[in-house]
Amino acid sequence: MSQSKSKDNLEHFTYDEETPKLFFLATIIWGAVALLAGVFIASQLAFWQLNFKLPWFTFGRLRPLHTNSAIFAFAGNAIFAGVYHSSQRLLKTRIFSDALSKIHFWGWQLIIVLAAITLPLGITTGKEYAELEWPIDILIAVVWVAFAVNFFGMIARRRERHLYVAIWFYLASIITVALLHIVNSIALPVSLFKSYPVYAGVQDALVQWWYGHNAVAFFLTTPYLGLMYYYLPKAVNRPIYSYRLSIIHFWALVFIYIWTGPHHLLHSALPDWAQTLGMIFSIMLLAPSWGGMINGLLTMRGAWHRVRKEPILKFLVAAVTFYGMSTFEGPLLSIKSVNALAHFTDWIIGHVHSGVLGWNGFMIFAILYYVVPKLWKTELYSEKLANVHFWMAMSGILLYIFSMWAAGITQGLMWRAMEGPRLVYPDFVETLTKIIPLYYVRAFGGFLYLAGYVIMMYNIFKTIKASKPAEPEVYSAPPLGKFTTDKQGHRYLEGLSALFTVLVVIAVIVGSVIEILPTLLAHKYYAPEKIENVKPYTPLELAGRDIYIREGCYTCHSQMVRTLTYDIARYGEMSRPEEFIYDHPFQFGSRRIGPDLARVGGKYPDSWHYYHMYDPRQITPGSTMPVYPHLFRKKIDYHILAKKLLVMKRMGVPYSEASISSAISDAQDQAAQVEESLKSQGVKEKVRDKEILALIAYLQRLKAPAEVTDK
Amino acid sequence: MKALYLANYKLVFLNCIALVLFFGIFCGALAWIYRKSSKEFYDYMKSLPLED
Ligand code: HEC
Repeated sequence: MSQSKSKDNLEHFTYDEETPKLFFLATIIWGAVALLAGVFIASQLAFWQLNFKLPWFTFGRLRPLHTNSAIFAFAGNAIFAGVYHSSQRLLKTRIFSDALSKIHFWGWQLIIVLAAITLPLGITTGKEYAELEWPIDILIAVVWVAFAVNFFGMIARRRERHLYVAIWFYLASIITVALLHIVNSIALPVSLFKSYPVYAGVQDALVQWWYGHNAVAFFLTTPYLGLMYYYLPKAVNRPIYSYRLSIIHFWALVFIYIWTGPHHLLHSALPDWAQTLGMIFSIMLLAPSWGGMINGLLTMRGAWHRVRKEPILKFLVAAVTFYGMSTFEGPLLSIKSVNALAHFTDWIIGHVHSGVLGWNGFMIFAILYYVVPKLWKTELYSEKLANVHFWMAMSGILLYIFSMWAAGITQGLMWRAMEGPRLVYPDFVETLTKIIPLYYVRAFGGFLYLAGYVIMMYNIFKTIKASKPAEPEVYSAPPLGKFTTDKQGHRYLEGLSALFTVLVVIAVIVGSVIEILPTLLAHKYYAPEKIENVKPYTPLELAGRDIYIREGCYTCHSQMVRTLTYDIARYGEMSRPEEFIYDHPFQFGSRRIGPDLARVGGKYPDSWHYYHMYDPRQITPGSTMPVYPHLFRKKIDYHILAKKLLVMKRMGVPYSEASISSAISDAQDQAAQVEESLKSQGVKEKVRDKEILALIAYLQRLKAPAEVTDK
Repeated sequence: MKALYLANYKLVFLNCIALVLFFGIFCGALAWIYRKSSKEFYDYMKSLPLED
């Protein structure tokens, strides 16, 4: 029995506590995995030996595992848990469908397991935070729809006419994430494990960062703000400071966030006006974000003395403060001149961690400490341990952020230091070895955070263990009646959830369309006399490019010489939009742990790359690049090449019928040429048909279009 | 490079549309949300999470 009616016109009903419980448990488990992966890859950057000699343990393959598990497994499960738990109470109704809840829960866990298997195997699209291949993408869409139906079903069956602001945040998140995921994931499959996005080059980059930044906005921010607006008043036991401010906070965020994506592409080959648009909207974002932070902190009025004793309030106050800090840092980093220094450095890594560890992590911990005793009908096992957790996590974050600031600014300054036309530190590795000590600090900070987390796991485990099975509580409320007040203002709007939804969609779409406009106009920015020089990849180069993507080289290397003097001085001719028109997907990268590779072609002989890929330190002492012995064992998959070319051709890459039918033999011929050249440079090992040949062919091809010659 | 983009830039009307759209909606919303008469209602909304 989930529902009955009594004489006084009250309906009696129970809430589904099992679904939130399951999601909370999943959050705890996946959080440990995500943090462990994080500490491990952070250590790999400090000690390259930790890449071992195993392909699935290299940084390039594990980094996507870390980011995906932190965002979608840890933060994701926590969103679902909190949304289901709080929405039932705010809407006074049980979750819409038990069956959909099961599909949602198990489907999402299946997705995570599939991600955990495929990413280390190198099955990836090569688009950051959207690395999962197309079958998993489809699964994500299906599970998301189950979530959406469950959520909108609750709204339809609610017993509270008015939608509290938390519900709006959830609603906007669900709709926008669906839109982002679908648009960004459109791809043509080559096989079950490989696809190419339909977008190319600058266009792909813009769509990707429209997605990427809004994953931050609508996955890591708006749902968490919804959670904040529910759990903060709950924990403090007083209403939110200003409901009016929360309305402005909501609409301003939903409207502005969607425009900010191009701030990931400042000084790149993206049209300037789109960059400026992204920058301006990012700066505007400061206002509503701080409005939200202030609203959260002022809710604490009169309760500050409790912060000293109660760990839940400590975590909440710190989370809201980190929200404020990272939303201050974000607009700062979007200013073009600041970005010129910070982009591609560890500063950005510090920034995202103040967001995810500080804002999302602390919010999740507060909610866990608050909700677990409530759901399991018991007391928290130890407040003291929770306080210990707080201080360990806080010290961990601070070490993390400060070391990354120092590393980022140091390296950024070294990259840009010039004396006249000369670089002061022309050797890239010099700028790397300087910051390695800071990587020790960072890894230690991450370890502290993880250790605090383990204490929380223990605390929660003990709490749950002490609980006794209890009868589900029965709640009562009158059925949905008329509006409680007259029709006016926002109150009217939020009574009409369908209209409300439409307005959210409009707000999001307006920004999206205008922002993505430059990609539709992209051809206007291609210089016609230069576009003739741009040639599609040869089949072997394409094979090499797919190895580059598989190994996650883009997690350490950019391919984008920015419009900045010192970038040009270091790497060569600046990148132009037309260079990338056949790049499905783009590989601009977001972090230069190693040097930019856009102009590496022809810089070294083939044998240099050969030895460097086998053991980077043999060539560049002090390098932290992983070793890739498996590329010297595995054979090139020639057979799939014709299919790959065909798919590319479908997306507009001008391969002729003839070049498709001779793809395999062309690739074999070119591989034989690389093999010959290696032999002539003194390589003695047998390398026939090995993957390293394709990778070398690809790397040697990375140069300004005019310099690319026919093979 | 920058000069080239600026020279080719013919979409100034977009800036104007964006500005008017954004600022207009913002001011409208502000006036609407801060009307005095809605205080009672907002107090009710605020109290929602504290029930149950
Ligand atoms: C953990 C980060 C990391 C990963 C992953 C990584 N590299 Fe590197 N790479 C570096 C660093 C650091 C350097 C600079 C030191 C050196 O020359 O080894 C470098 C240098 C290079 C260079 C020389 C560039 C130049 O201009 O001197 C090439 C080429 C290169 N890497 C290719 C690759 C390829 C291909 C992959 C993927 C299979 C890859 N890297 C993966 C960190 C990485």
